[in-house]
Amino acid sequence: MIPRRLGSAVVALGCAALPLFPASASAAPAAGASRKPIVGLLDAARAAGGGYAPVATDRWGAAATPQAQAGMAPVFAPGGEWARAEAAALIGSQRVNQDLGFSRNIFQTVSAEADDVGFGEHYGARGAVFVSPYLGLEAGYTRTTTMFDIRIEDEDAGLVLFDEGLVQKSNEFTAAAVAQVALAAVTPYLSVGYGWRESEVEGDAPFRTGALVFGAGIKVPFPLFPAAIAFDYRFVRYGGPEGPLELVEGGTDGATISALTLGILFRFGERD
Amino acid sequence: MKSEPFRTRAMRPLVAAVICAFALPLGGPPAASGYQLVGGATFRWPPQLDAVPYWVANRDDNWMTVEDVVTETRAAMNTWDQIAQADLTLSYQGLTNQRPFDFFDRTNTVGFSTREHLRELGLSEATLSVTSWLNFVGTGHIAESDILVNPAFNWTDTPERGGWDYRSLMVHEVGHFLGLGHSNVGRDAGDGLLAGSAIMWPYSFGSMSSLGRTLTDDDIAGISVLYPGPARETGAISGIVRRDGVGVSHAHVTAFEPHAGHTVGAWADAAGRFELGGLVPGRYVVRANPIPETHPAGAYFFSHAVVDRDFQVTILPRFVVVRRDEATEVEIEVLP
Repeated sequence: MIPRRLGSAVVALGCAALPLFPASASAAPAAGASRKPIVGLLDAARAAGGGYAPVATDRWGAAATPQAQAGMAPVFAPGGEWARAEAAALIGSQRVNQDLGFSRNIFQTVSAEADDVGFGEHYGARGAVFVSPYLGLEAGYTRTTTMFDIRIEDEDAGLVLFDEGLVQKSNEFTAAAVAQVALAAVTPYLSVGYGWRESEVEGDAPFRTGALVFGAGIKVPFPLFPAAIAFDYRFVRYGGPEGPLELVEGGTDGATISALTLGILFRFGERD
Repeated sequence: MKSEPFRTRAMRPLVAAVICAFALPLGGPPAASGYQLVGGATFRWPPQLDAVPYWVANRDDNWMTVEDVVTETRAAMNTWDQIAQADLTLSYQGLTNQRPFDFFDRTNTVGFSTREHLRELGLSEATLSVTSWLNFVGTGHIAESDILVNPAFNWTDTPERGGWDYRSLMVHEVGHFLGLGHSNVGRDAGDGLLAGSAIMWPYSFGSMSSLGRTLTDDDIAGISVLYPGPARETGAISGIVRRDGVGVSHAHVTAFEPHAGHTVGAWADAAGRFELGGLVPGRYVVRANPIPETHPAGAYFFSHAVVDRDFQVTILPRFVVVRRDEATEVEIEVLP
């Protein structure tokens, strides 16, 4: 007997090229059967030495009849998967739009602008609990290192770029609602929530800010393991200059951040 | 209207003269000084003096009544008196018939004298005003100080209508009266000194300008070094200016905090060492520059010192963080 989860993963992989239907539909009561019997039949077929027999299903992915399952071909089985809980470790980069403006005295003009955050300078973890195949709640933590380039235009010395810019370390906490569609091969999702960010630049007291966070992504499950790769995009606009965001007087009112992360995601809990 | 003997607006010198009663320990700014101080950190009014008294010379000018002179003189004195970071009180005592620069009269006299008196003192007619001091030999503290204003100029309390602003001049001279030297935080745009230049820059803002009435951070830092007040929550940047590894004599160093727009200058000593004191905590751009070519070294208080001008303006390519009650050490390597 192969583990149920392993079996389902294999079946899901085999169905990747088939038309994709909502996973939840595979468990639709209207089909008259859950996915459990299918797996059971597959297991039985394997135990009989026949490997995985193609399984006939109706358009919802559920077996039409036990007789048909035994001899008919293809179609996907459990469609996409979903789990009660997920935990992910992630790493990525950020495109940051944060112009701190400029300040001048009688000798020079000082301006500053944030660099984009390189891959590896943005990392963290997320966890989610799903109350249904479609909806879940997510909490996350990321840590980000942002560099600010400093530029001096001096009346006498000319243009001077600092060797060392400012380094800002941020801890971000997010809570979000997630809506997903667990298809057979991938699970696209959208999220919306709120993010709290605590940042610190050397020499300054930490400061906090917050903003709505919008996200979207795709989870691609591994075939042989209860895990997936997650490609995630988040957009956030932190408003209002405060703390180091006011480093240079006249800076713009906030930061616009687009974060791309790659994560490995572990899934827990029985699927329905 | 009375004609002006001198018509150029820029580069009108403001002179401070030191009259030695017995001996005067002047040797340029000490290594640990922040702002340029005339004779070091002890060249100030004695700390045990509750209030520094001053009188106004009972003499009308051709352009201002004595009442106007009193009003503007008191306003200038109050400009320094009201600095929260400094522990300093200046007290008006009334009119006096003593002349400015009548020494050992125990009267700190401020105001006009005659052109003949200026000539007797050997002062140039191009001079707007002069401050003198007597000091105690033992302690270095100031014992007496006078401010003499050249009556040859058309002084006014309403410079926007024309003329030279008496109060702007007086604010500068009171800085000397208290023991400050000259600052190099300033920029002459050719047709006048730029706003934001220190009051203690050695040349005036020119006629028809009242910019010299307002103290800058540089001036406030200077007076807070001499008369530190209880509300002073500051740090410092100290270090050395070097060229080819050798200290640059009397280089000028400024620190600019972009967030607060706070600019403060200091002078290095003969060995190139400097300390910028009175800095509010923050993140500073540090810059070293020589005295401008158009300024004689004598415009500053570097008596008998060799002032090195042979280097380029240099900016330290990183922020220098200043914390309260700490001195951050830096080294600035300049190019010839």
